[in-house]
Amino acid sequence: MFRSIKAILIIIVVAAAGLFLLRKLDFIPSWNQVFSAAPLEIDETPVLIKEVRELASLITVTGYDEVVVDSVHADPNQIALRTLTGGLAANPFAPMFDRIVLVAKGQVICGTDLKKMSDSAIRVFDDSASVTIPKAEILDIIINPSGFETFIEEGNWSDQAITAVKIKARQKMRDRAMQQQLLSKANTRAISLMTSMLQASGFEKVTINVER
Amino acid sequence: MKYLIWLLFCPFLLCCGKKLDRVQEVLTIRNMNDLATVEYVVTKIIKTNDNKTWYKIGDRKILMSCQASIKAGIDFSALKPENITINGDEISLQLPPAKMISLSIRPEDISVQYEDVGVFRQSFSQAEKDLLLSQGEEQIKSSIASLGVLNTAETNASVFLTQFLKKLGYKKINIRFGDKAITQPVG
Repeated sequence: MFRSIKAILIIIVVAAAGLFLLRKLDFIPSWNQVFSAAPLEIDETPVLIKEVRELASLITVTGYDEVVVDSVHADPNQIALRTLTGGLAANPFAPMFDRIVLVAKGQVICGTDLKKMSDSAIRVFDDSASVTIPKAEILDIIINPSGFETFIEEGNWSDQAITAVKIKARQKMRDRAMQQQLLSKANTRAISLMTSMLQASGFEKVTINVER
Repeated sequence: MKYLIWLLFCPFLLCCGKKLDRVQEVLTIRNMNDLATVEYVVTKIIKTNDNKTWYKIGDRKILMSCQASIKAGIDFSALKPENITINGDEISLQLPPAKMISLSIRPEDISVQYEDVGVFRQSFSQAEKDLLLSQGEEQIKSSIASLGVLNTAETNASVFLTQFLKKLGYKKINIRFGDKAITQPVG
């Protein structure tokens, strides 16, 4: 009796030591790995060119920004249930409202579209050059999917509703860029860059004007 | 008694107090000196089948399509005075090779085409969709070389700068990107 218990104990200890060793050598997955969900991975698909556009945009200032946007709407199922039953049949812990809070990181790209420059914009006389450039504009506001962080997502949200919230983030970023007078900074920088460029091209007297 | 009430409500206070941390909203401004010369509008299908977890019963599939805009051009900040040579009405520029300036996927250019979720599975959350789209973003970035974006950016930069320098009075314009040379004699 005693011998058989001893034998079982030895087998258990040897098995435990064996498992421990195999785990340490990474031959078997850990307990957490066995029950962890496989990561979501997309399939390789081709990238198709839809359109190619010629540009001449002088990017002078980029603002890196982070904004928080949220949206709330009433959950129609909960409201209907509470209205019909006088609040008796509804789950008191279920939220009455669907809520989403997103944190968006992106960039506001400002610069001058040199394609809008007219033929008469450049005037040269000996070692003097005078250039009139178009005024700076917001060329792009970029918030890519990798820039969004979902902080709270409660209830059911349609893709259209999510898109509307994301567009709100872009508008917020635009407003903040305007408040920070990014366009004025972009104009000043464009003048400075064009002056340096023309001076490096051999002109001693350089005048840069910004279109009104 | 006071401690008993505290102990009773403590878990609720800890769990329900999902408060939004005040995110520091900072706008960082950076000076740039890039000339964007080309924009490629591309499309991509993003699809996955979440059936690799052994203990989850049923499939969960999603297929999304997105449109992205890739802008490329020249970084003028890498241009040094020694990269510009002037000899009378002849000018030579040695420009840095073209680079990708931006990749943009607008939310309105993303659409879910197909979603199939088994009865025992939860539908894809917004965070999961953004995670999948981020992977798509990376795949688009890695395909830039094969799309020829940078070559087109260099060609367009050469055309634009030649026209610009021609207006400034130069007759012979040589533009070089790294080792490649493009000569634009003005007739």
